[in-house]
Amino acid sequence: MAHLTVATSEDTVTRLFEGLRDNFSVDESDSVDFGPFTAGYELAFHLEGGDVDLQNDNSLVVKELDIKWDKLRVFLGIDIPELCIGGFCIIPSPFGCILRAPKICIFDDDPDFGIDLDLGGLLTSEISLAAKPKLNYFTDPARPAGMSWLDAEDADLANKWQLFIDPDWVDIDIFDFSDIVGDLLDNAIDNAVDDLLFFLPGWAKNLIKAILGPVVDLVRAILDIGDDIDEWLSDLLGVSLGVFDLIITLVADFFAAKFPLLEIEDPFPILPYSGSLIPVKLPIEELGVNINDDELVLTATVGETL
Amino acid sequence: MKTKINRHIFTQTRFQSNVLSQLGFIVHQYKESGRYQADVSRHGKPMYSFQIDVCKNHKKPQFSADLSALDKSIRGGNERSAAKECCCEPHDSVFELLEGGFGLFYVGSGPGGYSVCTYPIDQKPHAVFDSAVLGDGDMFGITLLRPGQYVFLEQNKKIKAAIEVEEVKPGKTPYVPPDPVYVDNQQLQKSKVIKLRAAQGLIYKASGGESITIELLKPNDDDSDNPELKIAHWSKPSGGSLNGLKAK
Repeated sequence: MAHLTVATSEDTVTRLFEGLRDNFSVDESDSVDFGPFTAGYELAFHLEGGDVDLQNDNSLVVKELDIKWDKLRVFLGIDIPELCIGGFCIIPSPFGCILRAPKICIFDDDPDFGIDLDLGGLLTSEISLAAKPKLNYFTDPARPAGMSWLDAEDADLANKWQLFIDPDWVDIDIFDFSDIVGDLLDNAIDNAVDDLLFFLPGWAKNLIKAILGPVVDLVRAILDIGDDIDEWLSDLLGVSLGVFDLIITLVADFFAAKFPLLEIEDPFPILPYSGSLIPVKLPIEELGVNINDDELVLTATVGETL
Repeated sequence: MKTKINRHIFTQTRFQSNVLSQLGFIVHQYKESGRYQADVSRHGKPMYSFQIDVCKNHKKPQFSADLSALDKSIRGGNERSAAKECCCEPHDSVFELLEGGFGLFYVGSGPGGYSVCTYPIDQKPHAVFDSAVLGDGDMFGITLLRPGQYVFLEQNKKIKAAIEVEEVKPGKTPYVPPDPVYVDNQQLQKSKVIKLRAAQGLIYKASGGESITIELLKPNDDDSDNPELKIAHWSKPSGGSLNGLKAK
């Protein structure tokens, strides 16, 4: 039978979760070559909000955990087609062109065309998850073998019981890209063209843009963007670049093993140092946890020796 | 790797049939079978040679010789090697051509400055084609990009005409330049103005003895907000020292 029982209300668990949540942050980048184009991302985000709901089946559910993008940039690199002038037929015949003018190309190679999309403020997304409590006994790797509990106390290397929330599932919901994302893409394409041709006089830029045709249409065709840019972006981020899977993995790993909801020092401090008296501590030999609809309950068995 | 823009095609304002640069080309028809040697010079300096084999059995009715690319492939782009090879040791490069086919000479990259002279291989002084003076039936083609007013000049026959190049602006569909405009001596006597759109070809059919210069007189692009392309330029300072390297 347990010697100690501590029950924490749902509100308290929510406060603990908020502390856990606020320690989560991500900064990642990657790029993938898809053949006709390359795509990459730089992302950083933290979490805000989140409603914690304790369940009767020894689990908790967190809903409406908002992803707040500190950075979400998508880079697209494409080779626009060879841009050449000339090549017209000088002497045509019913059987084809007998004599053709040379092609003179504007670039020495297919030009690299980089598009930079800053989607940070344009993507609304949130996470929900269900998790079960998981206890772990932590011994600091820096603690030398055989070190006494008192020396460990002095060196701040005491052992700890850790309570993690181990996700059974994590969902990420992409609600919407802002309506302006289409305009953002079009502007980014225009900017990329201007960057590519920045040192040319206006008439030359006009000529190249005229030969290229509507660059937005050209780029959208190369990137295979259909009518729905939201769908295309979600597919690019989620499927092609695997950003959403990455986020789910990072969140699940963080909650399951990186940062505990709660830590309990073992032996548990009862009284601190007092003059020449050493601190009073209570060894916790066993620790149990259970969640019901109202509370998270910890039960402890006190050990016989420290 | 950063793509380089072919800046030469945007900076040229003067085009000459006897000093070929990008955007211009010359065509000569090889009516008789035989082996020809082509000597290529740059700014009057002999650079390299190649051969043309004209035969009824060859299938190609056209060869296109990029004089700048051949310069690099034959001489390796080495200016100094030109003096040794100078036109006397024909390179292995041989263009095969159907009898009656056309040889097209152009400059595919760089600033140009090339001229070419071809002759039956054992009859060096007797040129069948010399880009310095166009022969009857030869063609000089040009693709003008910059909008503005140009002058077309042929000094030997005293031909002078105006060329107006209209600017094109981005539209809803890709711009395809209209078919080329063909002119000859007689037409230019009647019509003194040739109207073109940017990147539309102009082809002059020579009657023999011509050397053509086309020069931009007045651009009609409003580029007051856009600086000219910067070209490396050196001019000797008045003091005579070598401190005058600057961007023009």
